[in-house]
Amino acid sequence: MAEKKETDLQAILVIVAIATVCAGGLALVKAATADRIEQTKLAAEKGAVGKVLPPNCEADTEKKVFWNKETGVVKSEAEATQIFYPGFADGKLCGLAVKTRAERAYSGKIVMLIGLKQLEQPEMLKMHRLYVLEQTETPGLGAKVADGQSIDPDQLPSKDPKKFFCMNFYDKELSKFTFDVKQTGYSENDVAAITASTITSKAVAVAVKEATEMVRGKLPEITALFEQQTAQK
Amino acid sequence: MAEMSIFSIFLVSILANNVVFARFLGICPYLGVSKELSTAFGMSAAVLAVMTLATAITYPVFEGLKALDIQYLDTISFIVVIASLVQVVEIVLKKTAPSLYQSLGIFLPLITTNCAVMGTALLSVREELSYFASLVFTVGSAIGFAMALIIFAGIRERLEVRHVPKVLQGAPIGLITAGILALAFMGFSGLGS
Amino acid sequence: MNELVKGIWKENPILRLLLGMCPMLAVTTAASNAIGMGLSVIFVLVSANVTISLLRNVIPSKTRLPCFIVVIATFVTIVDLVLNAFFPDIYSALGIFIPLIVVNCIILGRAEAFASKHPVLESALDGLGMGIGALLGFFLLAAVREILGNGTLFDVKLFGEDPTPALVFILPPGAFISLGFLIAGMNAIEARRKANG
Repeated sequence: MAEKKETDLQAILVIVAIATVCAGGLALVKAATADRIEQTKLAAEKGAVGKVLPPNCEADTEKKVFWNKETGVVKSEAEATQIFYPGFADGKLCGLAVKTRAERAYSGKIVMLIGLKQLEQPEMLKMHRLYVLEQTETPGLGAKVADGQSIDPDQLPSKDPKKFFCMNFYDKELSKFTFDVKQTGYSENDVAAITASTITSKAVAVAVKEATEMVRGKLPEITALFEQQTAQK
Repeated sequence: MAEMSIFSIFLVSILANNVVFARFLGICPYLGVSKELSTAFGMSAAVLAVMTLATAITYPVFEGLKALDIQYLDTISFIVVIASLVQVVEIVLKKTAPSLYQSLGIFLPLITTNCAVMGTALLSVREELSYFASLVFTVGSAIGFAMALIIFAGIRERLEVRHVPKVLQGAPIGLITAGILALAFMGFSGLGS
Repeated sequence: MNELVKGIWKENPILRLLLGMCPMLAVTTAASNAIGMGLSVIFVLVSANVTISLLRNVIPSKTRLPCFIVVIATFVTIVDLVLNAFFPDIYSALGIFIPLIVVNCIILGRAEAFASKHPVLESALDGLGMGIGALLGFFLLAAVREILGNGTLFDVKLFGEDPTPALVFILPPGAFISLGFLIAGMNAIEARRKANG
């Protein structure tokens, strides 16, 4: 009996010893990689925001503002429904990017960035570019929302929104834009839907509309918030 | 997924995002076990129990890890929880339902390596579902797994008495059948919109 | 030497032993993902095999499975952290299947069947061979699916600017069906080899 107890205790000790060594080893690896992981994340965020802002307008992700569509400014990403990023050129605000999401596209959520420019007056606001960050739509159908978005708009072979969905939102005046999603018979101020993917197209259009309306309605407040962030630093 | 209604989450996890045919989880037991309908039922019940308990326990464990800022230990803690859970289920089954225990045989401990169990536990915390929504998601996924298993077992029983070319016997024909089933299940996509 | 080679063809863990099917179907949508997953599996396999072989006289038989699992999970977490830090594209492409390497039957299987009973060098070679076999398996299926389903290989367009590929291969049904035929093909080759002596 005594022998059996010994091996049982031994067994437990061995597992605990192994587990402790492993946990310790992992803590070391974690410490070694944590900074790099954070850096990569921030660089990716800055790169993505930079893509939707107009040229010569530099993204400043440190001044981002977390916004909840019901309660306004919030303190953390978890409470936010949108995130606003400013872009500066020579210290002046030249562009604004909104990170927003469509919760129910065809197969799940779509997270996207919409870049805005001409921020002097809400009536003059223009959409610059759309960039899809996350989506799980069907390849060849809904997934085409992201077609061509990595390429500079001036270098795209065509600006046809049926070919490259993001072109729907390129350099468009908000005051004239209808956000109507149509398969055919669309004007340059409507959204040309992806063939056979109206649900996905509508989901994105609605999300962008909501985000841009938010900015249009609260432009002075948001601009002031960016300035506050500057003052705090 | 965070804002979808509970019913939506349930339905989508069974049909549109079926754990086997769309998420590719639980393939090994799916291909291995389902040669007989009765085994398929037993296995499904066991997986349902383990999956639900696994998510029920790992979710608060993850909240604890978050509080201590050691989320990177999630892989280790989850699998340890699951392995222990399966041990416990084995002991309980042996005492309360010995015939089921016998018929499941080696497949019971193998539930530990069933990616569907670990997969749904991880997805629940990564997709930031509420505790209740995660449980609904897990139960739905388990039912989806059961559906896949049972449909497949039924088809396989019939395949046994048909002529199948030698190179296709076993896994290949199983996979091709799964492919056709996956095609059918794709018809359900868009269900949650 | 045999330890190394057997994992590549005759006992290829994925295509002949039929282990590790879940990631096989999920990550083989693009050749680059397949390579990323394959290299991760090789790292975990070799590291875990070596560690478990080193500890094989210390680990008590009754609780060996939990010990194996903890060791394997540790190396999987290391891969997860390193990929997140240095290869973020692969990290987001492989997603949840990185932590799922811990329940990959290939790794637990080799730990139990080989590493716990053999010395370190043989265990390392066994892990390496099986890992290379797995990588080959992933790559083969991914190549088929990417070429047929996307018209590209490693993101290089193969059929001109605007191909109309058979999308089904990138989607779930295509995964199952392609793998089915791939394994059937392997069976056919093996049968012919046996017949020819």
